[in-house]
Amino acid sequence: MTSRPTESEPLVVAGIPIERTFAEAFDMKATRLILTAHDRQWVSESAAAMVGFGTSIIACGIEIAVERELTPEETPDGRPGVAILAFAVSGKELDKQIARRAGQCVLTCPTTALFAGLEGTAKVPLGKTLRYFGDGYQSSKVIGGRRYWRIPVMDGEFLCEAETARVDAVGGGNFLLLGRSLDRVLDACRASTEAIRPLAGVITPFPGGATRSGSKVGSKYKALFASTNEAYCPSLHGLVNQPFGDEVEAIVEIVIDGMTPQQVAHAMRVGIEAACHRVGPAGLVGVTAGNYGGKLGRHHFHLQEVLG
Amino acid sequence: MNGLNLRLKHDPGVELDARSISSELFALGPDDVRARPLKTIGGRATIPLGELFDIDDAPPQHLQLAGDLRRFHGIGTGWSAGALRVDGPVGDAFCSGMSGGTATLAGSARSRACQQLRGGSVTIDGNVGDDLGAPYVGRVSGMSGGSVLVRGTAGRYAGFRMRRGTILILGDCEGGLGLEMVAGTLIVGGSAKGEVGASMNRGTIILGHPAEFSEICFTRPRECRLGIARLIADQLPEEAASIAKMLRGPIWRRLGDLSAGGKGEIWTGVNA
Repeated sequence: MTSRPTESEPLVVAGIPIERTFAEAFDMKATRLILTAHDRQWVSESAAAMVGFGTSIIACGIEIAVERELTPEETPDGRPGVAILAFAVSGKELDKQIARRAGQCVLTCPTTALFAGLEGTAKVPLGKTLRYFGDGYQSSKVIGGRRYWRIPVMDGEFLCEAETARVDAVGGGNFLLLGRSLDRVLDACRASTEAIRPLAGVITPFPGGATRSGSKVGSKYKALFASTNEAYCPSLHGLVNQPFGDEVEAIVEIVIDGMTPQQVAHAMRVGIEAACHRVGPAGLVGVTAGNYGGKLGRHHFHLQEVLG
Repeated sequence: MNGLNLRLKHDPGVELDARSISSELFALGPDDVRARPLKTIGGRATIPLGELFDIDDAPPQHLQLAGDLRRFHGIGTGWSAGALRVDGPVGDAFCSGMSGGTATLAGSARSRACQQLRGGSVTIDGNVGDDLGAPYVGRVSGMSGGSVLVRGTAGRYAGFRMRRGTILILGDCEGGLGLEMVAGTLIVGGSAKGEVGASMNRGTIILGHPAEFSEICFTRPRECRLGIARLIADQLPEEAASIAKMLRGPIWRRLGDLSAGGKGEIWTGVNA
């Protein structure tokens, strides 16, 4: 239940004040992959490896996570699978990261196969690159206008679609949950990520869907281009200027990447409402969002509009 | 005149080079279509299209022919776009060198149908003669793309030297199936006479019935389940349901021809 206040009235969800600010997000390149395997265990093993170390483009080069599980009826080869979404700052970086991860985490995993999960003209190579592992014993088939590579491996064949598509997308939608206690804020965080997980076209790439290391641009150390955002570290209360009082004990940030701005906005709304309704004012002091003054990212998700 | 309907008035009495009955007709005006010459084979004479056919309009990008066209050779040669439909039997080299669009033959075709096919989709309701999808005479490789569905039977050397694309023959085949196949997919629902896949280099031959293989040129069959087989099964038409069912289960796979590189494969539903 979200109230619809005027500009001068406070924005409130389930009794929790929502700051009139915005999340600043960025243009990214994205792709979707369909990973299948003989059974759910091998799907999970391979997917976990594929999306590992894929929380932030800052050092991982890519933000990647499982979008949702797929039933055998939903996959091209009739086996259990998952849809994976991946985001990077450029098409070139996306190509590089996907080829590495597919090669080391999917090709290597028993029984897996990898397919395109998107249609489009801009392409990300999959089997087109990995086929060379076949050392001349690889072969391809064009079926229904799509090329698939078959690479002989020790458990049979690794089947991999030649390429998937790449589209323009949005990365860095976010909101911060300001908690009265660590337990309460973690509970709110779980409610958020559980509510966002079933949504199509979005991922929350950080561990458990949330991060505690919200960052600001720059650092006192020249080698770093991002560092801890001390204004949101409750442990520094009284030492630095902070936009909240000492009733805030812990904060977590939910970061959302999405295929479209609309999907990101919807996920933010769903996540904020779920968190607020789960713990109420006894658990959260407020909800806010992270931005860089609006100068870095083209997409501004104003909380009052997202929740409107 | 963007679409054409051609009904044969009478038997021409001679064999005709009908390669000019192609998608190029769509670009011609009515008078030019009627004046389009068909050469006689083995002679110097030509016969204008208008003398042999009643010609009227058809939906845009549709060329429809009707009649006994067994003396017309090369219909649909180089077909690149639009829909060709023929009601009645045709001569040799139907849809040779076709690169796009669709062709439907409600009848049978003689030899060398779809030779050097490059793209598009061909459906033949009847039977085809020898050399389906083969190369032009003197060329190294044959069909290099597109798909062919033959609902009837095929003569000798179906898929001879085919390099890409898919041929699906629902009926039986004479000998020489997949001879010197370079790559691509060749599926036969009926029985195949003689040795299958002799000298094939790459590519896949899928057989709905047991056939003869050279024991020294192919590996012993191994049972396997292949993801690619499932994808092929999902693309097959309903009338190939028995092959689709076979492909969704375990199949028996032989590799060969070992005398030609051994990277081709033959799939069957049973170990035979």
